[in-house]
Amino acid sequence: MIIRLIGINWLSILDALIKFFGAFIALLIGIYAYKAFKATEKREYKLLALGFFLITFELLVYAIAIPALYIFYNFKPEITDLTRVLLLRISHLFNFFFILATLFAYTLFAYLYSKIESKSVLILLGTLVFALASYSFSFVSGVGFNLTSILLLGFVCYRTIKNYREKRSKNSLYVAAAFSLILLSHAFFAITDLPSTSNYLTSFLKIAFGQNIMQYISSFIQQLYLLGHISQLFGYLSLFLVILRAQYGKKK
Amino acid sequence: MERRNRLQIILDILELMQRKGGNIKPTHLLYGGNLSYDRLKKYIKELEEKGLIMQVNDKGKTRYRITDKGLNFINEARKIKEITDAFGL
Repeated sequence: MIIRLIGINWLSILDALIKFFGAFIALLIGIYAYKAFKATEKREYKLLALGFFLITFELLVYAIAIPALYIFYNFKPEITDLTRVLLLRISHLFNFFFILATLFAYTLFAYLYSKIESKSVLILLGTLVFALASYSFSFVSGVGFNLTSILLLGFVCYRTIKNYREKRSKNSLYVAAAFSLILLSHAFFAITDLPSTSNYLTSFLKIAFGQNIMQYISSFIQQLYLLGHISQLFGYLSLFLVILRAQYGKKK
Repeated sequence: MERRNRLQIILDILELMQRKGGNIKPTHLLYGGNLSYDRLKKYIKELEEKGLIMQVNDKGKTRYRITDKGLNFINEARKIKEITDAFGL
């Protein structure tokens, strides 16, 4: 799940639509968390709101970048090589903001659930995230980004599942399910990025199974990519259920 | 017993007023709110400043009344609480 110029198809359009939906949900939760901060002045809610606003930002960057770059790259007549290089650089820049905002949001969530009060820990984690995002600026591969996301979300999932086991409420179950499904989507995306990351791996597969293996892998990867999107969509839907239940329902 | 946070205390005070028909004596608020006198005074001052409750004079006795803004706040605070509880922070 990294912004790319090549290979855009109906999945990318689905991708952009899911991102718009996710951005809307993240914005709503961010607003509720901010209201909670205003009412309680608890720092946790301020950081939770910031995390969800960052998620909104990264999802919007992704949702807008895909269609915009796709149109420029594929439908603009007489596109020069220089423009193509420029577009490639722009897509890297979008990636940088996308990765930075996503990882910083996940870091904030992990920091919140760790219950560590120290600001210096947050600054240190933020610096590491910035370093990783800067590295990704010139290296368009999602493996490192997705693995980092899995690690951070793994901790968040553990804490939200623990919260569900303590509270046994449906809302806490939906939150735990949402983070778990988003983690799962990162796992699917990490696998889909593996062949493009490692030349050794693709060479090994070609030697071991013949040239045709890449066609099967490509089809398999497309299925995993779709599963990643479905998982992500259900993750956001799960968070949407929490909002709907708070808005209209009362059942625990 | 879990310690109540600020939002929960405010919600408890306003819900207590709502249950008592929107109008309550300070002593009832003190017992029902399960707060010390000093803390309750602080909360009442804050809620008055925010326009969520108002002080009224009933036959020479002080009472507190929940405002329309306070009633709206109860609904909003319940939603906020439900969402923040779900995250377990």
